Amino acid sequence: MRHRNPARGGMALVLALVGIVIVSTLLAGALMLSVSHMSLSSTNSSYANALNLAEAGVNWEFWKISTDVTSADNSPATLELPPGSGRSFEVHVEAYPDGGAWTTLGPFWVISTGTVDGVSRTVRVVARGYGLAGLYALFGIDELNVGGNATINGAIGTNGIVTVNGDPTLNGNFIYCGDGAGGETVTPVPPGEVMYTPLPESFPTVNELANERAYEKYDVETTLGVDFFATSDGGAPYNDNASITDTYGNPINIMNYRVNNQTFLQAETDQQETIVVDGVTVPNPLYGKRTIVLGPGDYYFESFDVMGNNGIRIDDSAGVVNVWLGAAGAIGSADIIDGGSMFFTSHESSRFHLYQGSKRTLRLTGTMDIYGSIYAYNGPDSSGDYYGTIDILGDGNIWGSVIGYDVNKTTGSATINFPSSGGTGPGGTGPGPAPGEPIFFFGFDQGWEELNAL
Amino acid sequence: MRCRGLTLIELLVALLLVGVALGALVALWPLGFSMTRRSQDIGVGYNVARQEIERAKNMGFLILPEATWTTAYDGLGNPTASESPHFTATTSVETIPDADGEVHSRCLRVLHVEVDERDVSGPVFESTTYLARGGI
Repeated sequence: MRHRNPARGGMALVLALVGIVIVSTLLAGALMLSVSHMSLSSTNSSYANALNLAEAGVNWEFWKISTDVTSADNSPATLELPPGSGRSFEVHVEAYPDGGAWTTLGPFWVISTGTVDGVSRTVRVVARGYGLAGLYALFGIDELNVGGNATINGAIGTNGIVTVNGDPTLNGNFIYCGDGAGGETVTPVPPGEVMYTPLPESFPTVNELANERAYEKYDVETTLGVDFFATSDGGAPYNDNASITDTYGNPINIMNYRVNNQTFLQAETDQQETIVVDGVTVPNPLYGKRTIVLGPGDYYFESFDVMGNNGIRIDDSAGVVNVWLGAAGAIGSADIIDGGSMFFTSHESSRFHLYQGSKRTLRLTGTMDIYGSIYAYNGPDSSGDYYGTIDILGDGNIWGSVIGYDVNKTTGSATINFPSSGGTGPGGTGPGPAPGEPIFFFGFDQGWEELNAL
Repeated sequence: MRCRGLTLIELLVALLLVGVALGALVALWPLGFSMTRRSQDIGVGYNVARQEIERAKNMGFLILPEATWTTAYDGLGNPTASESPHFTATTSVETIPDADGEVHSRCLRVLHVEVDERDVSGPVFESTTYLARGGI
């Protein structure tokens, strides 16, 4: 009789089940590996995206402050990008290097956190304002007429139409900005070249720069533009006209904001045969002229005629001198600076700025050296139009930048040299524009770093 | 002592169970393979996108064209001239008009990159960032 061994019965099933368990375990392990690999890739993807969003936040803040300096986010601002995607950045600014609210126009931190699917990354950069330095020697926003025997040392550009008359020497890149730029063919001296950019160049108007200056100097948020400098805080005017003297320290009364022959008749004749410029004693070119002195500060005039036996000493050795010409959009005879009638005690081009905020033509004639920048771009007027005309008719040297809505260099052999050796523009190592210098935009300075990195 | 062998029924049932288990295993291979490949594609995809973003930034804010362009990459994320590339990165730059509807050098620009894989519908990676004058 045959007997089954109970201990052996069903052994095949047991072995099969053990095999299944082993196979299932391997299978589950393999699947878990795939799933975890997928999860890792997904997390890494979010990690990469979060960094892009954090940098988007930094750039968004730069754009925002450059558009309106009073709109800086001292408290965190959050934005979705793209809108409705659930992906976002949170950005704020702090004063550099001590932290806290950023209320001046000095260096600052921008701290931005990008978040994607729960993954966050935070970057922090040091930022600052950028002035004219490193930009253009000559720019005609709507129209640029270059002629005579002018020499331009530095970049030249326009958003509009270029006209070339005579035989100018262009030692720098010539940049056609935006689709509206065109006109005659220009031939820069190599290595200068002709360049094209897809977007028209944008400059702040004189009104915007004046508002920015009001915020910087007086901590006043205003929309008055250049006209702000004709107002006062109670009895204290928002300008430094009262500090104008002759060379002997006698006060000069600028009546009705007009600088003309009547103004200079109040001044004693300058009898100083020599004068100190950047620490060097040189002959005084204003010797024998009725001279008024403008020290560091902001001055506001509604007409500006300097010529003949009259002179202005720009005493900018100790700080920035800004001359604001208003009223915004006002029309009238040209404001004229004739050859040899202005003299600068510093040869640092960032120390002097002449802003034309009215519709009057700003005309430079004769032979002179101007150490500073000339800026004539304002608007819009009641018709929505922008304006600002600069005529350079003489043979002088301008050690600075000339930017206007319409710029005409039609006669003479003037030289425009820019940037100067003292510039602190993009790529420079300087701290940015000094108080009083115009700021054209805010951007990255140094020190990209990731906070709380993995 | 004499050991008795397995019955035919036991053997068939065991083979059936093992067969079902192995079948399930084999059936899951494509899924695992697909997930692994997708993971790899995502990994290469975001690096390709980062390359495109850095390349666009290096052109310079003022020079960067207002346009959409595509760049071909192989499976390892190297640029390729292949007509049937593993990855295609589509980069677009668009400027947001200011309050007056004008576009210019002080406007904010949007940089979008989408990376597509040849055999997969939908992007393996896409990213959007802002660019500003003087920005990073």
